[in-house]
Amino acid sequence: MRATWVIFKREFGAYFNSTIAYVFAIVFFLTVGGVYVLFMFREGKADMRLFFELLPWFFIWLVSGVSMRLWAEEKKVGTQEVLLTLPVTSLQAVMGKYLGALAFMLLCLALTFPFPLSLYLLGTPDWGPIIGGYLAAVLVLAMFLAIGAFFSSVTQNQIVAFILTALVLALLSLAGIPPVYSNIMAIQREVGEFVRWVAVTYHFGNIARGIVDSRDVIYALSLAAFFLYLNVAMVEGRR
Amino acid sequence: MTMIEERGSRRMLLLTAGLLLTGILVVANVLASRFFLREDITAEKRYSLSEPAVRILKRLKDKVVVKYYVSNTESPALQQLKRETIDRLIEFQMASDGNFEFEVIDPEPDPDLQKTLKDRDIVPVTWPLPTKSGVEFANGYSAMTVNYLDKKVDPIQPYMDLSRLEYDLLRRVLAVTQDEKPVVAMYAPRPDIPPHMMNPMMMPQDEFAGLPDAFKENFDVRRIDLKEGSSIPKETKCLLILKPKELKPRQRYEVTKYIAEGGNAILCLPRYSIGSRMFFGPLAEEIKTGLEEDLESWGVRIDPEVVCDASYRRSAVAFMSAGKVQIAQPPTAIMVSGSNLNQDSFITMRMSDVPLPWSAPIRIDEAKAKAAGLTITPLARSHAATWLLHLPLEADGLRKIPSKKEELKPQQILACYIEDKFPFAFNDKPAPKWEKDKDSHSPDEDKDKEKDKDKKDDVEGPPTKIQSKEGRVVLFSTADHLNLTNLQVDRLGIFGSPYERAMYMVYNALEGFTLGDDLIKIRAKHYEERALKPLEPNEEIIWQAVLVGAVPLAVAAFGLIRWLIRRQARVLYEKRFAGGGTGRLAGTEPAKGGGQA
Repeated sequence: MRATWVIFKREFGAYFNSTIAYVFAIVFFLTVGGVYVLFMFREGKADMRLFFELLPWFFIWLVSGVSMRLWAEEKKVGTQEVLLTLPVTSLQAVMGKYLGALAFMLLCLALTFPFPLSLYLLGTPDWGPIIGGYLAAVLVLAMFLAIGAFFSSVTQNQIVAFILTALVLALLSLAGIPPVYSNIMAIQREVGEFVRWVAVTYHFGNIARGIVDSRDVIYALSLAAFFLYLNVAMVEGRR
Repeated sequence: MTMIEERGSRRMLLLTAGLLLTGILVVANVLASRFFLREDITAEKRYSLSEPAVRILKRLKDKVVVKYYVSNTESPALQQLKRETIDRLIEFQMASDGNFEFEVIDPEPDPDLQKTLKDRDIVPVTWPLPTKSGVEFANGYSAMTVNYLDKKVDPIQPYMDLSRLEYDLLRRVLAVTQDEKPVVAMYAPRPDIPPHMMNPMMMPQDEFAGLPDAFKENFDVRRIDLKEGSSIPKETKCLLILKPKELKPRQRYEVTKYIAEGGNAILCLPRYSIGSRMFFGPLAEEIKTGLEEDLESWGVRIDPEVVCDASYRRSAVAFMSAGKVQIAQPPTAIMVSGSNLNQDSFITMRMSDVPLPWSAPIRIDEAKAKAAGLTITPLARSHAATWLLHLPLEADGLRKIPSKKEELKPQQILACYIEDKFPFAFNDKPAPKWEKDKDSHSPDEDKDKEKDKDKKDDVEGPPTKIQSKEGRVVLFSTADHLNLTNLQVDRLGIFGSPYERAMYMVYNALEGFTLGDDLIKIRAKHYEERALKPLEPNEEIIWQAVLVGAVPLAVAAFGLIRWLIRRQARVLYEKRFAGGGTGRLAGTEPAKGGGQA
C-alpha cells in the first residue's frame, strides 16, 4: 500500500511538470467549454445532458494524451527497469501509476465546475442528472484510463501508445452510434447486440439522464479491471 | 527454485488469475443484467413509478398480465424504448406484490400471432433507422395489451412514449379490473320536433345522440331525461349535462343534490342558442340553463355574450342547413392552444389544442367561491386577441373583427374546474314536484300550472337534509365541442382532428372521475421546465467568454508560474553545484570564495 502511495505521489506530481499534460488539458478545456456554451445558450435549458453525452468523445483526446507516457516514457528512458528492481510488485506499480493519472484527470474534470455553477446562477437545474453525469464521467475516465495505461505498456513509443489508445476508445464510442451497430445487426444480430453492449454511449446515456443503474457501473468497473489486469500482465512479463 | 522456474510459476499464476478474473467479470455482467438496481436521482423522480401508481399496483387482487409486443428491428429508437420499457415493467412487477406480470413478445416470426394482433388493430408502425446514406424507416411492432381474466380493454397501440406509460397502462389496468363499467348519466334534451314536420331532411338533429356510443368502450353511458322515472341513477359515477334549457325546479334539485352529495359532473352550459341560418337573420339568442342561481352561489357566472378570437383560422364549426353539413370558419370557432390550456390539470394536460366553439365568457368571483369553500381552476382561456359580441347576434355581426386594441378582451375563461363541498340551494326545503310530460297534457294545463306555481303542493316529501361532501365539476360554457356534427368535419380531414381532441378532453375528465384519485394524480404528474433566465446579448457574450476561457487561462497561468519557479530553482541549483559555490538567492551577497557558474 505504501509503495502504491509513493508511486501515486510521484506520478501525480509529474503531471504538473509536464508541458504535454498542460497542452492536452488546455485543449480539452477549450473544446468542452466551446461545446458547452454552444449548446447551453442554443437550448436555453438549465441542464448538462448534452455536455455529458459528448464528454466521452473529449475524454478520448485527454485520456490518450495523459496516459501515453505512463509506461512508454519509462521504457524509453530506461527507468522502468529501475522501478521494477525496487521492492514493489507489478500490481502496486500499475495501481500507483494508474491512480496518479486518474487523480490528475479527475482534477481536470473538477475544473469543469464553472459549468454547473453557471446553471445555478442562471437557472434552477435539477442536480440529480448533473451528479449522475459526473459519476458517469468518473466511471468513463476510470475505464478509458485503464485501456490507455495498457496500450502505453505495450510500446515504448508514446505516439504509438497515443494512437492505439485513441483508436480503441474511438471504436468503443463509435460502437454506440446507431448506424454502426444497426448495420452489424443487419448482418449478424448477436454480434450487433454485443457491439452495442460494449459501447460506452449505450451505458452512459442513462446515468447522464439521472438514472444510476448497477449494470452500467458493473460494465465500467469490469472493463477497467480487465485492462488493468492486462497491464499488470505486461509489466510482470518484463520482470 | 531457479530463476527460470520462478518466472514460469509466476506466469502460470498470472494466467490463472487472468482466467479467473475474466470468468468473474463475465458472470458479474450476466448476473447484473438479470438482477440489477436502478436509482432515479432526478429531483422529480422522472423515471420512477409514482406513489399513486404503486398504490394502484398494490391494490390488485388478481393477476394482470401485460403483453408487450415489440419487434427486434435495428431501429435504435425502438431498441432504446424497448430497453427502458422493460426496465419500467420490472418496476411495475416489483411494486405489485406478484399480481402484475408481463411478457415481451416479438410477433415478427409468428404469422398467426400477427393476424390475431391485426384483428385488435395492432399493426407495425414506422421507426427511424439511421443508415450510412441518411435516415430510412423500418416497420416494427410496439404495442401493449392488458389481460385480466377474459376481459378486454383497448390496447396501447402504437406504444411510443415512455413518459405516458405509467398513466396509459394503469388506466387500462384499472378499467379492466373493475367489476363493472362505470356508469355515466347523460342528460341532453332531445330536440323539439315541430308539429306537422313532413320533410325528414329538415328535421332538427339530435346533436349528442352518438355520444353514448363514442364512450361505450369504457363507460356505461345512460341517457336520462331528468324526469320522473328517468332521473340520475344511484350508481352514477359522473353526470354529463349537455346544453340544458331552463331546467325545471325538480331537475335543478336533482342535479345540484347529486353534486352536493359528492358527485362528479361535467356541465356544458351554453348561454345562447345558435340558429342554423348561418348568414341570414338572427344567429344567436340568449337562453337560460336554469342553473344560473347555483353557479352564482359557487362563485361563477356565464355571461350571455359570444366569445370570438383570432384563433379561428385554425378551426371550423359544422352546422346543418337544409339537411346538409355546412362548414364555416366564423371567429367563434375558437381553438384553445398552448399556455391557454391548463397543463397542470389532469383534464387538459399534454393537450396541444382543443376547439371550444361558440363559447361564452366565464366570470369567476374568487371571494364568493372562497366563502362557499370551493376551489376554482381555469382550464381553458381564449386567445390574447379576443373580442365579445352581445346578444342577440345577427349573422353579419361575426364579420366585425375589431381593429382597435381597446376593444379586445383577452383571455376569457371558457372552461373551469370546481372542486370541494358544493352548497345546496334546497337544503332544509322539500323537493319540488316532478313536472308532468309535455306530451301528456295540453297547453291549457301549462297555463294552469303557471298560475299554481306558488302553491304549496309544488313540493313533495319532507325537507331535504344533506351533508355536503367533496364533489367535482368541470364547467364548459359551450356544448358545441361535443356536437357530433363537428366530428364530421374532422373526418373530412381539413383541419386535422381537433374535435376528436375535444372528445379526448371530456374522456380525460370522465376517466379521472370514475377511475379514482390515484389515476388523476398520475395524469396530473408534470415536470418542471428548467429554462435559463433570459440574458442580454452582451451578458451572453461575457458568460461565453468566461465559460470558455477562464479555466484554460487559469491552467496556463498556473503552468507558467510553476515553470518559472522551477526554472529559478534549477538556475539556483546549477549555480550551487556546477560552479562549486553555495548558491544564493537573487539580491543576496555572494559567499566568500564563491564562483560563477
